[in-house]
Amino acid sequence: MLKATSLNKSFGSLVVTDNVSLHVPAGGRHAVIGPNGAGKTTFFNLLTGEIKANSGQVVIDGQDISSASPDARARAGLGRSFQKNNLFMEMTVLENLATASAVAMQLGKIFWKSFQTFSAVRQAAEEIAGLVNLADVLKVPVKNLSYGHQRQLEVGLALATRPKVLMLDEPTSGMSPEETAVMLKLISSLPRTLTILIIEHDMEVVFGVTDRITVLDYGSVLVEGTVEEVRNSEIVRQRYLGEAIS
Amino acid sequence: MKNYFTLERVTALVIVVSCLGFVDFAGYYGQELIAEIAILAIFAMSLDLLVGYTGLVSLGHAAFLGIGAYATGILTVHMGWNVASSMAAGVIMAGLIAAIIGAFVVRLGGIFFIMITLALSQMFYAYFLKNREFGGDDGMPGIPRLDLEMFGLDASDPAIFAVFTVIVAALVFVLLDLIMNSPFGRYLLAIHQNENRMRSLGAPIGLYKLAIFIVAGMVAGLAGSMQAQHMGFVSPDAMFWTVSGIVLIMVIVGGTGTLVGAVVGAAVVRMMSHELSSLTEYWMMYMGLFFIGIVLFAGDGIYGTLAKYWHRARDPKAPQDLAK
Repeated sequence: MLKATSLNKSFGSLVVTDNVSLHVPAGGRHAVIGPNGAGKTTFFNLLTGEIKANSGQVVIDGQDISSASPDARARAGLGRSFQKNNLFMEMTVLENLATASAVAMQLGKIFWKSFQTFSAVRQAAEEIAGLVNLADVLKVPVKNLSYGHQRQLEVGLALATRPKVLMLDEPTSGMSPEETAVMLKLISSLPRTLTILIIEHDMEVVFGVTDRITVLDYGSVLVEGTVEEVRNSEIVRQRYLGEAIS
Repeated sequence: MKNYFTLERVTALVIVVSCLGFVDFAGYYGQELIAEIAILAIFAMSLDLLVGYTGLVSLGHAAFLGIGAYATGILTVHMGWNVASSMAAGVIMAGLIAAIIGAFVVRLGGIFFIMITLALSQMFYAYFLKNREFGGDDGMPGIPRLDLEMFGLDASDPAIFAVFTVIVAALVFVLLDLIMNSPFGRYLLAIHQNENRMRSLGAPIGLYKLAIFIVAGMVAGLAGSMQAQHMGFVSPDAMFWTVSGIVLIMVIVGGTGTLVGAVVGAAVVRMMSHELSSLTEYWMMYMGLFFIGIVLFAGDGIYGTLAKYWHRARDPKAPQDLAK
């Protein structure tokens, strides 16, 4: 479903992504882990086009999007959430999800009909709100939401684009253990057919929801394998997991 | 769920009705003032599409006012077109030039957008200032008004022309209100709030900014054409940067992000500058103090602030619902 081949990126002489490849089959759940500064978010940004790669190829569902703009990649099926909340703060939860759903349905060229009359948009928005456990706070302005709820909406906006590949950038960052548990449940409850690529620090989440893991270190792939392989890998233990799970 | 009688629409209706009612006994001076405010209101609404809805602060919007005015002037005076087609041509011309300028400037943000729009509009000003054929700095007199004879009306009658401008302003409001409440309008609001997220959701934001830049240019061109007809005259001063500055002040004073706010701002600023300038030589200083006061104590502008209190008074607990 998603295939990245030999992605490279350097800022001046600083190599931040060094020949990273990754293949997530349809319905696959793949995590990217690694210590701080390993280049995980940069790798995400290379996939979504927010940063242009120096070289390498990105293919989604057979479509080469290596040189496409971020919005074109989103339309091709890459839906992402952000590590830092990136929401429409002056809107309510419903308005956020309705806006994202309208973009997914590509309604932006319609200028002669009231937005309120599009019941399909509202339906889609309410459906997503249900998926991310926000159905009770639909009318609440985002700026009044709790942090945990905002993180859930962050995932909701990505889902609302009806992605082929859902990319979650540290969905539990900054969350309390209770909020993390809610998020873990939320991600596990997403339809199995959805392909997910996730950056995560919380190993419980990683081992709980994914089946393959890529470990990045200094911008390159340290190890790639199943959850078991990575868990038992000596080099990963030394370099990273030792501190994280011991 | 659907609410057709929004505060904004009701306010607009009240303003239009009271203007029309006032025309009859306003006298010559009042009628001229109403026409002038109605035209400025169209101009201010067009700028608010950029500033208030989309977050593109232009300091060169007068260029499109001037293009509409000069197109009408040149086509009627020099080429003998009738006024109706010259108005349409003015609007289209302003739209075309907005498309060309927009293609370059919508990529820019913040201060760069402000400076480039300012610079480009000054180029238009400089061109018409030096062009002898179109009157240079003396301007171009003798521009006729739209022929309303088919309705049995005489547009040179200030009362008739005042009513005409108010009706055009009302139609512009209805059209823009429709556009801004559509999915297209929602995209613009969302781009204003979080452009980066809109892009990653899959919206080609440059195209939407360009589209609204063209619409704003066309509406400003219409205002320019009306202004040329009203005064019977156009000069390069119509596109000088201070005109862009004053209309920006009008939008901010009235309240950005609402069409009625722009209308209120146009009326208040225009009336205040007239009243104050007849009272004191230092009227600009008082205007400045007034503007500072608005920005400091009523950041949402006159209409925006009143609307906020109105909504709060009606339903203290309800969150402000932008979608409505």
